[in-house]
Amino acid sequence: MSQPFFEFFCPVKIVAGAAALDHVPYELAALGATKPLIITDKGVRGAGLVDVVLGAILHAGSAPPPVYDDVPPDSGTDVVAAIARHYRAAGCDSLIALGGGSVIDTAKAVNILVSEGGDDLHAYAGTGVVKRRLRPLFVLPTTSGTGSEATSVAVIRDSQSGAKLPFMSPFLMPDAAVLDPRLTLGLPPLFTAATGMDAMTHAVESFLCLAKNPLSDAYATAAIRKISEHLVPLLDDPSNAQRRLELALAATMAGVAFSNSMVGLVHSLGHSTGALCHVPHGVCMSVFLPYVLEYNLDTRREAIGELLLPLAGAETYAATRPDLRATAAIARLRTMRDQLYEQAKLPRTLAETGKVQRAQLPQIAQLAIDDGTLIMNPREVRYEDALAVLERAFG
Amino acid sequence: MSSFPAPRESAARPHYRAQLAFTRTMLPILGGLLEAGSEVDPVVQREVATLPVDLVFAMTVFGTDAQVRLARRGDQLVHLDPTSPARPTLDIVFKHVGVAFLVVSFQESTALAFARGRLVVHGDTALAMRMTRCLDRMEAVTLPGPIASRALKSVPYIPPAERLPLAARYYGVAAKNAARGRVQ
Repeated sequence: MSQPFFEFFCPVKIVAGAAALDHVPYELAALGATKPLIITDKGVRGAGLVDVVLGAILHAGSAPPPVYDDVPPDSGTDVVAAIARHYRAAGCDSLIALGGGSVIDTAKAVNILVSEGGDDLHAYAGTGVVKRRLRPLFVLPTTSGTGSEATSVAVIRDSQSGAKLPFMSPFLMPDAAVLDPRLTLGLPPLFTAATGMDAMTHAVESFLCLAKNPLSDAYATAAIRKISEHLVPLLDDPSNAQRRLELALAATMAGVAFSNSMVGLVHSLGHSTGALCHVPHGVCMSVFLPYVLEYNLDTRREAIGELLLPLAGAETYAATRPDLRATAAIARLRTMRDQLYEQAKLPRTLAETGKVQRAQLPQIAQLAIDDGTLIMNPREVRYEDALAVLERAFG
Repeated sequence: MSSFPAPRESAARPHYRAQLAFTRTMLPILGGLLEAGSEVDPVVQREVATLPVDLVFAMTVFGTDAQVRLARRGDQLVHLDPTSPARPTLDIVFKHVGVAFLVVSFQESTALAFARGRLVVHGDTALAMRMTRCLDRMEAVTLPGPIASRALKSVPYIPPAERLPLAARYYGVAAKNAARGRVQ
């Protein structure tokens, strides 16, 4: 007889709210850090967010920290080694990641090198290779989607071979995630919509996949409720700081959920489509989510039905017959997807992305069935199944 | 990792010793059936053809000597002798003998054990997915339906006229290979 069992782990301190950035100097000092290296990219620098962070730190009387602002969108091992040299030359003792997924993953990888020593990141690739505490790492997300601020994973491109190197260790968890609405206020509508649906997918898949557990369920449903309540209204009122904060919180909560209960077929297909056709991750998530829910419907009908409560609220949930709640939840997500298309032109199908050809679908399906996330999907997925979902999502 | 001693109080418990003995017996049987699958089953053969030529696949139980190792040699998988010096490039490690017992006695699927954090995979996850598909196929062919339904997320329909002769070939080749002995 199978015996229920789960593990749950999240040591990240969440510092969230108005002017949360102002707490960074105190939180760094609490960990004995005095000279952080800020890692970011040109886009974040151009948006003025480095100045916002420096302003918060300098107000507290700290010395201006060095800044590395040249992280590319698909960061590689050569970039990580270069930043590690920069860190050592500047005599830093901690790291601040200011940006989205690529910046955060890069900072985690840099932290491995500057803590463990050396310049060869390959030596630490894989599961559980990093076995001891690293330097203090603070993450300041400038998008509300990846959830990387609460995960123990980083993926870095091998600059020589082009292959993706995964790094998984509890010691990659940041020490703190600082969620300040000032960091996401300037996010354009399409990015806001795509990253919001990325977070939604993290939460939905963590609630439905094999590793779901009572604690991750609590984070997932809370995240779904916040995204349902705030994403569409935010796109009509992009400067609403409170809604921005709610979405940032939702993304972090979804990150906590999926870091502990993992994700499934939506991500398998999304990783493969992103790798072969360069469709942004959040766009893939939004496109595939309803089709994968339909695929998993018979295996997870009751759990999908439970999603109607955070997606649509108590009145709609109570007014819907239990046997119809699952299909109503999927319909709700489709409605949201259509609204996001109207507001931000977030693609609803693969064809609408303009980057995928129907002839590429077999190759995407073949890659998807080798993706590690697939093992967590509640329903078995074979090549023919993955291809059928892709055909439906193509439009 | 596997040389770490098991806790004394656990090792002393009779059910621990029974589970360990069962797991020690079953892991080589599963390895032998996988080896046989790579000889007689076209579905497994297609998966093996995509594996690296130097692959060494292992399933081990933390804190014990229970293990099975297979390597790709040519177009087939071969079951390695425990004394083989080949180091695993893909290693599935059960965190406790009780976990391994649940999986090798087909009470819990490999996927569910992984989801529940009861085992970890060291190595390329894409390779792990392919080896998992080989394991799933072997179990779908060789196990009786009610047992297979507990070991797998879903049991693919294989017509009895196809499945039963194929299962017989699996067991026959595994027995022949066992008599021959394992390779270094």
